[in-house]
Amino acid sequence: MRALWKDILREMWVTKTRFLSLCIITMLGAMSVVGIQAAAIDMRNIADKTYKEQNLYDIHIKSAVGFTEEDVDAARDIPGVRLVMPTYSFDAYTPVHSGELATARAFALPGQLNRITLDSGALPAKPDEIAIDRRWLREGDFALGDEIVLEDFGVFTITGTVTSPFYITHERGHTALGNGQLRFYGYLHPDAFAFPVYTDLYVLMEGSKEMHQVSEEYDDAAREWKALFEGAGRMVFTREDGTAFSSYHQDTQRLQRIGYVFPMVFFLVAVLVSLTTMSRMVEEQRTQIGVYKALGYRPASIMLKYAVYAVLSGSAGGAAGAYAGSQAFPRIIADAYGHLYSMPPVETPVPWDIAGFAFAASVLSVALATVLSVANAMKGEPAVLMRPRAPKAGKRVLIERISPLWGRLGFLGKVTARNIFRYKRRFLMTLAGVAGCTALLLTAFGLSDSLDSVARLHYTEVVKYDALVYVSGKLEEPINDEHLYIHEESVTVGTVSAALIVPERMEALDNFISLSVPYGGGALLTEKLSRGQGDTIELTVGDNVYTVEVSGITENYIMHYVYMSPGQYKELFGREAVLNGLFIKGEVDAAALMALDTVRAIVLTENMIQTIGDSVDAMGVVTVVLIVLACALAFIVLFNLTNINITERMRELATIKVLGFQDLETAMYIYREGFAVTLMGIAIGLVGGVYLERFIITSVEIDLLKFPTNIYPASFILAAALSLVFSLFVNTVTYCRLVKIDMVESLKNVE
Amino acid sequence: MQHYVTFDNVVREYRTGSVSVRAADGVTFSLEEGRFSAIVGPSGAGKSTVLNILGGMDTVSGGTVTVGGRDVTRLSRRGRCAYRRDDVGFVFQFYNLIPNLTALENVELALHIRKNALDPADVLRDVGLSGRAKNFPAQLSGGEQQRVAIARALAKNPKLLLCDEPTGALDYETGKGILKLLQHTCKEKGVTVVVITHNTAITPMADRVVKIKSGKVESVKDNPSPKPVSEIEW
Repeated sequence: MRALWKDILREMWVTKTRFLSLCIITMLGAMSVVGIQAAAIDMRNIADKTYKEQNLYDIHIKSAVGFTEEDVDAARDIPGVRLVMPTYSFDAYTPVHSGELATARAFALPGQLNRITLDSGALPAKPDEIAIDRRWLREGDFALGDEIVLEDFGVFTITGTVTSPFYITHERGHTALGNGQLRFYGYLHPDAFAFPVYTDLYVLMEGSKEMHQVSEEYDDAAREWKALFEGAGRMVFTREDGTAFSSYHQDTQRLQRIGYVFPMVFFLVAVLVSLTTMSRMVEEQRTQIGVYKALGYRPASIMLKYAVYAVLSGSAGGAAGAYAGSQAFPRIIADAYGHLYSMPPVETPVPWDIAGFAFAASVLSVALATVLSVANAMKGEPAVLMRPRAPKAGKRVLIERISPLWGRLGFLGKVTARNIFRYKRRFLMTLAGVAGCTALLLTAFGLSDSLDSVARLHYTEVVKYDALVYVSGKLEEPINDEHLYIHEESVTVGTVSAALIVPERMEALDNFISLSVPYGGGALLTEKLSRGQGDTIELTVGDNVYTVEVSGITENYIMHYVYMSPGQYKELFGREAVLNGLFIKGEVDAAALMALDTVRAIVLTENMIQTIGDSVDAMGVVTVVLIVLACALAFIVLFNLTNINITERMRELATIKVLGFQDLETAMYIYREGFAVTLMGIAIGLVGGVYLERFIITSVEIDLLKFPTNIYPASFILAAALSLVFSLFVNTVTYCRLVKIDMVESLKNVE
Repeated sequence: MQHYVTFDNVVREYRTGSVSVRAADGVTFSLEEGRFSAIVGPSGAGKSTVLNILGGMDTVSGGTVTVGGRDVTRLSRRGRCAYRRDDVGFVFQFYNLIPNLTALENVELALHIRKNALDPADVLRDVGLSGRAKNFPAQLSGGEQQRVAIARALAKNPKLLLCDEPTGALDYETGKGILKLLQHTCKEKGVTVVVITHNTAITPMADRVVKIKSGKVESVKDNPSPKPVSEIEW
């Protein structure tokens, strides 16, 4: 046994390049499997931990008339309620130093729920003190101790800066004031609110803390809880209704789904390359295997050496990859999302289940490749094995029979063509390797293209209005810009929430929202919503279900919509559609509009593009990670295969060197094939990448978004160029080996 | 007649770790242009080292080697490559044909790197193989493969034809045929042929015989009347 270990250790030392490249290949595979998944998990876990530490609400109820103590008690009596925290908040104008009036929301310091973080200074201890968010301090150009005016409410001294658990993005939501966008927030002492009734109720439900806060399970439960509080004319919100919480959840989901598909392709390429590498190793040791066989060793004993070699490289690579992936990836990716969401830094425990899976898969794939190669080699009789294999006989290739083409090839061209077909297996492996890497690169680029297109397509191709204004009725003042009044209402189609839009004049809708098909009665559905639906759909509103015929499907990328004419609405629901919204085209003076009593909120299209653009930027970092991985894989694959090609043809190369081929000519003699195969691989990879990208996009698609699968032309060029650059780089590295070939030694061996 | 090749006190030391071996230990001899020379000696005597140095495949540790008045030990790496390309033709014991090229294409390789190369088809005919031009090496016998190797070396139109045990892997009759071809090439084309062999029986066919033993030249003998190959037996 000790002799075997010595043999293995010596083998590893002698073939260190091979051993290392096997390690690196499996490492990259394991890294990609573990890293992206771990990033998604760690990001979810840190949110879970943070929400639990903050005692974040499950249900938020708001009412225009407020809540009395009886209302609070009634809420406490609802089954499943663990805790109800009644509290106050209000929106006000606040002058900042530039003289402009900004919008701000003041909350009362929380009780048990929604714990805030004090960033500097102290919390307000008296009714005339306030702690504000850092943006307010910065943009308002205030210092601690300064005084702040909340119009119609009072003057407050700034005691500190705080971070609220409600705002995990820079998005502050809507307000009924100003241009409709909330800009700042602050916390006041509860005694500052001399209100007769509470304005908000925050509810913690039984069993909520036992669930993972960022999970399907929680979201499903929250939807059920929400139903318990609905009715009585109050507005009930779950965390999912706060866009920031749900977009965080969706971002981690998207990440996780990329983490499922992308590494599969990675692993496949890695397995292919380790198979080639190990079969080459076994090939080199044929004679030795033959000797062992002749000496009477059992196949299992012979196999052992190679199996141990494989398991060692597979486990070294697998363990290193799994560990590095679980440590580095979450940090890099979470850091990128950190620009979008304020979350504490992620904790990166090793996810043992995924790491174990990646480790086992790495070891098994390399071991399997080895066992197959050795078993294949051992088929021969010892006498045959001990004799070195005759070099592959030359053969005419198919294209030689196409004389017009063959005649046109130069001498070296003919040699190249014939060599490519002579080493069919390696040719196919290289082709698969290069194609795989190019496809991965294209997919990575394509992913960012698709994300980029979502917002662009939706807000240029579909949405044609510049603002959506929420109103309580028709405006008294005439609007100069082109506009359309609508009725908007939330409905549920199956299990999916959608917005039902009923325009005042159906024929004008196409001017504001581009419709792929003209409206022909019934309901018009957006594309993703229509999936899995038949000729009719069931709309759930409150407790009632309405069945309506589907007349057409229209293109859409963000959210789900159902469009219907006012006549159809009346027929279906038995009531008139109440106008509560307004599409406007043109320069929108948001502040002027907000000054009107009938205007409740404004959503500017340009703001929506900005928000989605930020999310795309964060995703860009994930794309970069994927690209770096794909590049590393491309390099190691090409390096390995080129090396094998050189080793196998040492004698041939030595011969042409003796004939007087200069170093560069020798290199070109062998690189031409590699180059030709690389070009073919790139072509196949570009085609394959289109499909891979389509596949991944479909699986990362989140409920609310439909990703277009278009890839920009630049991405094709970039993916191809990168593969080519790697091919050149590898050739430069292996060139040294070619230069060092010892003619005398290489030609000495018996053929 | 001037000395075409001269070895002057050539030393070649190989170092592996702390052990150094002198494969050539002060080798001195000269060869004449257009003649058939044989370098003989037992295996391990250093004759291959001499041939490798002469062929520009190896460097010296000391001494000088001149070929046609030029000191080849002073050539750069690139210069040695050009020297191999333009001045030297090699024939090996194991032929070393490119397996993926036909007989004719193997000869054409020479054409690719040498400007005033000979017509490959003509050379192949001269070695008696025009009928097998389109065959791959694996489809040729050992003797045929060696003829292709000789044709490949000759097509470059070299001044020196170096043959390392050219009959070592061939049977008696085939070997004789190859030697006959080499002798013929020397006589008819005026190429300087150097054959390395451990088989002293073939020395009577050479114009000059250099015997090497333990890295040193043991003797240099001239044959006033070399025998035709057909009269030699071993």
